[in-house]
Amino acid sequence: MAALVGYIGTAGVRIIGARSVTLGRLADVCLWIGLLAHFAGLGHIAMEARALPVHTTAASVAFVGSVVGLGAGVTRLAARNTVLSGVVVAMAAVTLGVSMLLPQQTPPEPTALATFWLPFHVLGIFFGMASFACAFAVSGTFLVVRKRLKAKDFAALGRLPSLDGLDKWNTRFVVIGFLTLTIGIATGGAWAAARGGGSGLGPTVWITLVLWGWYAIAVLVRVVGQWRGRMAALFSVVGFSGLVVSLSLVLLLLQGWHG
Amino acid sequence: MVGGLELVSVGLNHRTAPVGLRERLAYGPDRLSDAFGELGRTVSRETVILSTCNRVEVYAVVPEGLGADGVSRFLALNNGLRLGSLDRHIYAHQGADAVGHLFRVASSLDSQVVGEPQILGQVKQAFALAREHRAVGRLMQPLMRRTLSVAKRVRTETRIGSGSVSVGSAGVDLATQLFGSLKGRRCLMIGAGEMGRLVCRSMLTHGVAELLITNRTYDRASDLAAEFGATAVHWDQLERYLADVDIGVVCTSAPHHLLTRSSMRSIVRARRYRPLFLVDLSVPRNVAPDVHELEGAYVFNVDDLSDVARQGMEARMVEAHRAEAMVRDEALRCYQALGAISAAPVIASITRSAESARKAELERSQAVLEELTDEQRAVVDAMTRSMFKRFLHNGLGRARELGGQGDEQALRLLQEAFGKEEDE
Repeated sequence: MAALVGYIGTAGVRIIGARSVTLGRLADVCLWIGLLAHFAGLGHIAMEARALPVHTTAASVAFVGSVVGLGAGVTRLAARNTVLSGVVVAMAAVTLGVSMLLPQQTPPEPTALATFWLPFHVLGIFFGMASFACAFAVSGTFLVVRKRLKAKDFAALGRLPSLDGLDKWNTRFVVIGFLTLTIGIATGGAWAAARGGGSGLGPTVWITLVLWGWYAIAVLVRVVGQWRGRMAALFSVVGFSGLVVSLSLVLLLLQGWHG
Repeated sequence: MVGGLELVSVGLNHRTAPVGLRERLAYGPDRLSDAFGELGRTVSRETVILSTCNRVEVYAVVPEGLGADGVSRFLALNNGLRLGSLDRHIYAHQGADAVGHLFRVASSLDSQVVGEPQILGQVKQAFALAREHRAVGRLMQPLMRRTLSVAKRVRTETRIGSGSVSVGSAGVDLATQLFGSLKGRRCLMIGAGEMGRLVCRSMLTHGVAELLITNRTYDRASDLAAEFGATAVHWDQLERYLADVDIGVVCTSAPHHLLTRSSMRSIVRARRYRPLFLVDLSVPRNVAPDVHELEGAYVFNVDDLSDVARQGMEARMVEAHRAEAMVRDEALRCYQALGAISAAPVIASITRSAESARKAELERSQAVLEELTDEQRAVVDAMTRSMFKRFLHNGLGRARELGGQGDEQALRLLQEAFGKEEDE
C-alpha cells in the first residue's frame, strides 16, 4: 500500500505538472520510497513462499509492477523531462493496483517448479512484459504530444517531453523487452525440456510467442529499418494492449499461467 | 529616512525617454569615474549608476531634505543639458519606493520584455563598478546584495523568465518540443527573408550544429552563408537537403507554394518519418498547409509562432503579478532593515556609555573589591555586566525598531538620554 501511495503521489505531481520545486522534490522522495516499499513487499512474499515472488498471478503482476517502477526510476535519472517518469510511474501504480485487486491464490508446491531454468524463464518473461508496459506508457504519451502539435495546441509547450525523446525511450524499452522476452522464451523451452516436456503448448505460451513475433517486427522496423514516429508508437500501444487483453482472458479461464 | 540620510532613485527609461536622449545620458565605463566623483562631491554619500540601453538610473544616498533634486540637476548639467530640460522624462523615487523600484528593475518587472534575464547581470555589473569606485558603503552595500537575492528569488519562485516572447524564441521552443535539444541538429534556411534570419540566428545560439542556406540566386545564398558562418547550397538540390536536415526555415518572396503535399510526401518517406520541423515565415505561404498532415512533417507559420509568443507573454504577465506582490513585501522589509542600520551608531554610543559607567563604579569600589579573591572579583564583574545588559535590553531593542521606522527624532532623544556621557 505504501508503494501504491508513493507511486500515485509521484505520478500526480509529475503529470499534473506542479511547478513548485518543493513538490517536485517530494515527488522524487515518493518515487524512491514507493520503489523501496514495493521491493520490500516482494521480498517479504518471496521469503514466505521460499521462491521467486511469481508463484501466484497477483504476485507475478506485482513483480511486473516493480520492474515498471524501476523503469520509472531510470527515466527519472536519465531523462530531463519529469513528465516522462510521471507516466511510467503511473503505469507502475496501475500494475500494482491490479495485483492488489487480484484474488490471493494458494501457492503451488515450490518443488514442482524448481528447476535450474525456472528463474531465468520467469524473470525473462516478466522483465519483457514490464519493459513493454513502459514502452506502452511512453508511446501513449508520444501520441498525445504528437496530436497536440498537429492540432497546434501550444498550451503545454515546453512542459511535455519532446517527441524525439519519447521515440528514443520507446525504442529502448521495446529492444530491452524483446531481448529479455527472447531469453525468457528460450529458457522456458529449456525448463519444459528439463521437466520432461509432454504438456504441449498452452495458450499463454502461444500468446508469448505471438507477442515475441509482434515485437520482433517492431524491432526490425525501428532498429533495422529506422522507421520511427507514430507507427513505432502504435506498435507498442497495440502490442501491449493485445497482451493485456489476451492474458486477462486466459488467466480468467485457466486460473494460472500454465493452467 | 536612514540616519539623517535618504535613499533616492532618479532616472529615465524606454517608456519615458526616446532612444536619442537615453544615448546622450548613457554612462559608459569611461564616464563613470567622473560621474561618481562629481556626485560624491555634490549630492550623494553613496551611489550606484545603472546604465543600460533601456535605462539610465542613479541610486543615491543623499542628505535628508535634499531629495531627488540634486541628482536630477546632476543628470542634466553633467550631460550638457539645460536645467529642467529632463523634467518631462525623468522619474524619481524616495525611501521605500526607491527600494521597491530597484527591486522591480532587477527582477525584470520594469523591463521592455518582462522577464528578460539580462537586467540582473547589468544590475550586478553596476554594483561591481560602484564598489570598484568606492561609491558604496554601509547602506548601499546591503541594499544591493538584497536586490540581487530578491531578483534571484523572483526568478526561482515564479516562472517570469519562462516561455518564448519573440518569434525567434518561439521557433526554438517549438523545435525543442520536437527534438528535445537543438544540439547537433541541422537546419536549412530557404530564402533570405529578415524573419528567417532572425529564427536561424536563434537556432544557432541554441546549439544547431550546421546551417545550410539556399536561395534562387546562389550568390545571395553565398553572401548570407558568409554572414552566418553557414554553407550555401544550390536551389535545385532543395529536396535532397530537405530529406537530410532536421529543421527547415522557409522565408522567400515566392508568391506560391514551394513545398507541396506531393513533393513532401516522397521526402518524408525518404526520411523514414524522422520528424522534420518546417517554419514557414513567408507571406503568402511557401509551404502548403496540408503538408502538416503528413506523418513526420510539422509545419508552423508566422501566425503560429506569434501565437506561441503571445501565450508566452500572457503567462509572463500572470507571473509578473505574483512577482510584484513578492517585491513589494521584500522592499518594505528591506527598507526597515536599512533603517535599523541607522540605529547602529546610537546603539553603539549607548553601549559604550553604559560600559564606561560600569567601569567607573567598579573603580570607585576598588578598595572593597581588593579584599575579594580573584574568583569573587570575576563574579562581581560578570554580575555588573549582566545587570547593565539586562537594563539596556529593552531600550536597545526599541532603538532598532525606531531605526526601522525611520524615527530620527526619537533616536536622537534616546541617544541624548543614555549616550550623553560618552558624547560629552
